[in-house]
Amino acid sequence: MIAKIVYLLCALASLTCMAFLMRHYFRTRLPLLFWSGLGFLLFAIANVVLFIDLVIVPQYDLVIWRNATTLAGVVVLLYGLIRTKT
Amino acid sequence: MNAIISGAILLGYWAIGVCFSRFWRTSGDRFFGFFATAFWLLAAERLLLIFVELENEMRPYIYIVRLVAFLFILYAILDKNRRTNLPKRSN
Amino acid sequence: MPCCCGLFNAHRNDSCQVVREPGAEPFYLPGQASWSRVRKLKVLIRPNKYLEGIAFRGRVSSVSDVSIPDEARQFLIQHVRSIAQLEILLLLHSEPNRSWTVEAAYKVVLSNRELVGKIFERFCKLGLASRSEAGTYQFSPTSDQMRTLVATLATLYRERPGRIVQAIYEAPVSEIEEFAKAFKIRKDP
Repeated sequence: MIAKIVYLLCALASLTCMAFLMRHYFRTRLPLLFWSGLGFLLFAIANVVLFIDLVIVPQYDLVIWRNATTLAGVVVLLYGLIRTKT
Repeated sequence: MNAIISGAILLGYWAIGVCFSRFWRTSGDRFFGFFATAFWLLAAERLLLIFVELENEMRPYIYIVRLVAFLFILYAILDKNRRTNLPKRSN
Repeated sequence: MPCCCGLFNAHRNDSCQVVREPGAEPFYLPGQASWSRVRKLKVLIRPNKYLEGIAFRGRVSSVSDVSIPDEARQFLIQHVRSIAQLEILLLLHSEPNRSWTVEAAYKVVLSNRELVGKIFERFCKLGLASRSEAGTYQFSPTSDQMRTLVATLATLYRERPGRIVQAIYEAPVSEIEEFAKAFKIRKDP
C-alpha cells in the first residue's frame, strides 16, 4: 500500500515540476526551462510505468522500459543544465 | 543491459546534483541546494537498487529514498513561495 | 511601426526614441514632449503582447547616442527589473529624509498598492531602503557607492529616460534565476 502511494507521489511531484517549468518556458522561451521540463515529464512517465509494472501488471517485467525512460529524463535534464551558462 | 542503464542513471543523477550545487554556489539560493540534495538521494537510491537483490525483503523500502528525494523537491518549491528570497549575484 | 504618441497628451516629434522589449516589435515613444505623469499604459506591440508599466514624467530629452555608463548599467541589471521599481527607487531618492508609507508612495506612482509594498520590501533586502517599526520606508543605501549610483540614475533618467528604459528591458536574463523563478506561484514585482 505504502509502495503504491510512494510511486504515485513521485509521479505527481515530477508532473508538478514539469508544469511549473513549462508554464515559465512559454513565458520566457528559455532553453533550460524547456529541457528541464521535458526531463521532469520523463521522470513522471518513469514513475507511472513503475506503478504499472509493480502494481497493475506484476506478472510482466517492465524494468527495461522504466529504466530507459528514467535514463532519457536524466540525459535531457543534464543536457539542459550543462549547456546553461552560470 | 539493465545494470548498464542503472549505472548510467546513477551517474546522471550524481552529475545533475553537481550542476544544481554549482548553481547554489553561484546564486546563493538554497532552492538549488534542495534540488542538489534530492538528486543525490536519487543517486543513492539507484545505488541501493543495484546492490540489493530482488528477493531481499528490504527492497521495496528502497523506494522511500525516492519519496524523500521528491519531498525535498516539493519542500524547495514551498520554501521558494513562502519567502521572498533574493539570491546574491556573483559576477 | 506603431506609434503610441496618440496615447499621450503629447506632440509627435521627429526625434523619437525607439524602445524595445526583448523579442517584441519596436515602437516609438515621443522623443520630446512635456506631459503630466503617464501611468500604467499598455501599449500593443503585437497581438496579445503588451509592454506594461511605462511611466514617464516631465520633459524627455531628444535622442542621444551617449550610452549609459557601465557602472550604472550594472546597477540597473542587478537592482532594477522594471519601470515601476525604478520609479519607486527614484521617489525614495528624491526625498531621502522622508519616511514613506505604501499609501503615500502609491499616491505618487499610481501603480498598485500591493506591488508598491513588494517593491519596498525588495529594496530593503537589496540594501537600498530601510523599514521602520512603524512600517514606513526610507531611502538608506548601505554604501556610498550605491548612493552615488542611484543619484546617477536619477540624473540619467531625467536626461535620457528612453535609454534607461531600454537598459532595463534589455538586461540579460539569467537562466538559473529564471529556473528558480519558474517555481514561484505568484511572480515577483
